[in-house]
Amino acid sequence: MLIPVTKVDQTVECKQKEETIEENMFRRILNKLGKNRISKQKGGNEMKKVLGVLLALTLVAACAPSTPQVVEKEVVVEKPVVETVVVEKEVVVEKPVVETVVVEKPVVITPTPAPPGPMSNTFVFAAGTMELSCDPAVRLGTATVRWARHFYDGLLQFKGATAELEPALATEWEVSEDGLTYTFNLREGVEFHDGCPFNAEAVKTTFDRITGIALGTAGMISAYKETEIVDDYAVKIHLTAPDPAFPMKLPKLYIVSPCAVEAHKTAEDPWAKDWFFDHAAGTGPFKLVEWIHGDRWITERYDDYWQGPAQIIDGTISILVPEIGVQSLLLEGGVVDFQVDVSPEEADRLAKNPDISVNVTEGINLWMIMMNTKHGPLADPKVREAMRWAFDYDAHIEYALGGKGSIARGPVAPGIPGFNEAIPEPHQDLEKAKELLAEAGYPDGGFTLRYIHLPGETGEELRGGEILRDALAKLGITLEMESLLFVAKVALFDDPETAPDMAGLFSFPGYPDPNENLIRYYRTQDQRPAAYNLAFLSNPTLDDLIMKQEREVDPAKRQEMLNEIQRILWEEEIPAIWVSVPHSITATRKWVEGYENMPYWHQSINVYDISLEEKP
Amino acid sequence: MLEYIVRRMFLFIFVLFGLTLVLFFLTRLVPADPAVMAAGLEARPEALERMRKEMGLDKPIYVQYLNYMNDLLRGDLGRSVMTRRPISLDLKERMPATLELVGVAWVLIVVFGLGLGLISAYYRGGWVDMLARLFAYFGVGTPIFWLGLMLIVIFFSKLRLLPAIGRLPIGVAGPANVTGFYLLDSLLARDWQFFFITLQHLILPASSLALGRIALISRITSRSIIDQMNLDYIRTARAKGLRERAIIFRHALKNAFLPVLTVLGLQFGWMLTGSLLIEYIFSWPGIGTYAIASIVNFDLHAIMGVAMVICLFFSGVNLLVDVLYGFVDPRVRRVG
Repeated sequence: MLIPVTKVDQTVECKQKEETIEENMFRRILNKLGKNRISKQKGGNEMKKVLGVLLALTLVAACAPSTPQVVEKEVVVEKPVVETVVVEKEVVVEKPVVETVVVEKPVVITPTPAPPGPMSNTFVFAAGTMELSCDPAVRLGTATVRWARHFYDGLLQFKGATAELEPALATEWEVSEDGLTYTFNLREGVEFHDGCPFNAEAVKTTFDRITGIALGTAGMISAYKETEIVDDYAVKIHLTAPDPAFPMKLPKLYIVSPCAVEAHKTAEDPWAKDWFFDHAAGTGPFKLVEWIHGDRWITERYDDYWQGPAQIIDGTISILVPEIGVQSLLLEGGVVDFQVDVSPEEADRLAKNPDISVNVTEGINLWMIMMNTKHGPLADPKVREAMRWAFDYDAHIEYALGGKGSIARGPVAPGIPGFNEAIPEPHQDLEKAKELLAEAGYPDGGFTLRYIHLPGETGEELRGGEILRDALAKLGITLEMESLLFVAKVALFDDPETAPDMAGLFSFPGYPDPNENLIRYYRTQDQRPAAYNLAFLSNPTLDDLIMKQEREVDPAKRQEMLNEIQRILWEEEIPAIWVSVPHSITATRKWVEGYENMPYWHQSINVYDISLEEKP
Repeated sequence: MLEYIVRRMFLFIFVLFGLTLVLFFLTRLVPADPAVMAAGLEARPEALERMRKEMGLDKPIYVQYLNYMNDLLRGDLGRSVMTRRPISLDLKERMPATLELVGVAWVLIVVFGLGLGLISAYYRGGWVDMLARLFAYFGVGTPIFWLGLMLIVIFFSKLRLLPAIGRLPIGVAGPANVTGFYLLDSLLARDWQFFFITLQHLILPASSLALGRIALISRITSRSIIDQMNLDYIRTARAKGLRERAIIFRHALKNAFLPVLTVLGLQFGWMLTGSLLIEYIFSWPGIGTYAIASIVNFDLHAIMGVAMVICLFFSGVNLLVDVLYGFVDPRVRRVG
């Protein structure tokens, strides 16, 4: 039996392992066991034989080569020739414990150069959450966004790690003065994975499809009216109302193949939703080969990619590893190249490993504690302001984020264009909090608040709650903490009278614009069950301003409105304690080159720019 | 005997029916909206409303239950929101992975649990017994989750002896799918290397699953043997001048095995639930990871499906043990 050449090293490694301390110890124990037996009586030999054979079997199983089916690919390699290795293996356990067991491994003589590992040209990464759909027109959850970038392109894309836009499938774009029409000139000679040409028809189909399906993604382009095909490579997208953030949304509005829609649509499913659920037909640098639900997805390189083929030769594999701790161990063990969910504690540990780069950048996600503005003591804005002064922000950044985050300054993350610079960084001031509580009629506190957080022992929501609880205890206020899964948590907030007083909440902007921090969280119509206004905030001026700014074409005027919105929220309403903007943390093996952590892409990976030349 | 089996089967149907009732209303009691997960967190209200209608959530709860039962009786467990496929198909694909894991763990329990119990009883009071007892305390007291992580740290990260996750190395496709049980499939194909690889991947998760139960079974076995050793028939055997070894192996063991058999059967069922945690840690593509994903995503029908299947196996194994008992113990046969 010939073992594939790549396995030689491992056999050698296993041979070395045979002499480990553990085994010696085990042997000694067995030995003693045997002597003990002799001194007592002669029976029980069978038993020990069985034990010995089991031990030997375990060792053999452990030392067996690990990958028999090497991915069949002819790769030319210039790596040093591995010397001829003769491997003979012997497991000798001292008598009289068991008879000597000799396990022979075949001698492998190899004249050919050793090829690199079977995964050396494949980018492997672990993901903690299961994708719910591969269809970018249905939803834009974290997992979907993460893989959509493999398969699809938008009309525009973000330039590297910045929030600046640059051409992708559109080469030029302009907006009409009234902000209602966007004209795009399209890239010629681009082909979808299924051979379908990219043209104006594709753009029209994509946008009509998103609004036709009318699920999650459609929420982003609620002002979409129609696409007018000017010629094969030019389109005009008409909106019902101006949307200055429209271009910012385009990198994640992925263009799909109209041929695939045509080929897979049915009478009940005119937009081929069922097919796109687990298939991909885009223009992106990788093609979807297989998606094994809840386990892994496998891609291969698309050689005709319009920017030229990607540097990763074989493709990518994403495996589902729900336990984050195990993800890190896999990264350290060299099994995966990239880890996307890195906790701050893990980041510190991983950073000490010379083979691993930890990539930390300023984030745009925001964590806050929403306060029920309609019920209980928190209905008084003074008490809510007292809460803001009571919170220990420095402790939070240290304890909950391991120093990897910054203190939030109001409802919009500072990294997002449109942030109000006038909003100061908050800090803890218990005296000030006491004063405000006294003014509100609670000089010694004396009330209890209920706070709901997500489960997870190291989670920011739990730790933030603990910090708040400690601070409030000093003011005579009791904080009761309760842990619930997200869907169950937000469902508690259907009625202000019965809703809890506080809840932790993350705001994950889908695109870098204040819309993403304001719409869905603070307007009257965003109260449950419509969206996430868990504060039950209802301020007509604010509602009006938030809606107006979304449609304001003049950047200066829009900024003015945005500043006013942020000021009202910060100074007057205080529906939340805006706590932190956690850094975005990812980790890569050192052999991954060209990776950049891009918070504006929200955890998606710039697979196209990555190369794996050094990967063994 | 046959009557007994039929009676048990009948009872079994009632248990399943009760289970659907409890599970269905329990999952509906949770104040969360499954439509939110299905439509996406960013969905607008109209989209949510449409999704609710599509999922039948707009109907009164008893109508929902009747609809569910109607489908169930035709063998339809409904469709999963996560995978958009029939849940029965998802479970069928994932069940072999879990059963293989639990099966191997069970074999470990039988071999090591009985073995250690025997050794312990054989050297009772001696230091080997003490050691076995210490191991038992450790095994029973160790949280399965922690143990799994520790085994990965030791055998994957430090010693580099065994793989940490999955059924196969990344990038390696499964063997020709005959049964879905990789050990069996590779044996059928006479692919020894594949057999070894599969075994390698099974060692850590199966050991984590088995360790606590090995400890338990070893204690029960040893206790049971020692109890037997004090009975009259053993005294007779001793009086005849039989050697200790012969007494244990030929006489005591057979009778001592009876209580162990019951526990061994129960353990199989318990391990199915224990596999939830183990599969989570070891990224094992079985029904455990499926169950956790369905809970996190609030995929109601999938949660129900997994619970029913686990219950089915649990009750099935129990039934099997009871029947086996009848064969092993003539006393039960006579009464039954």
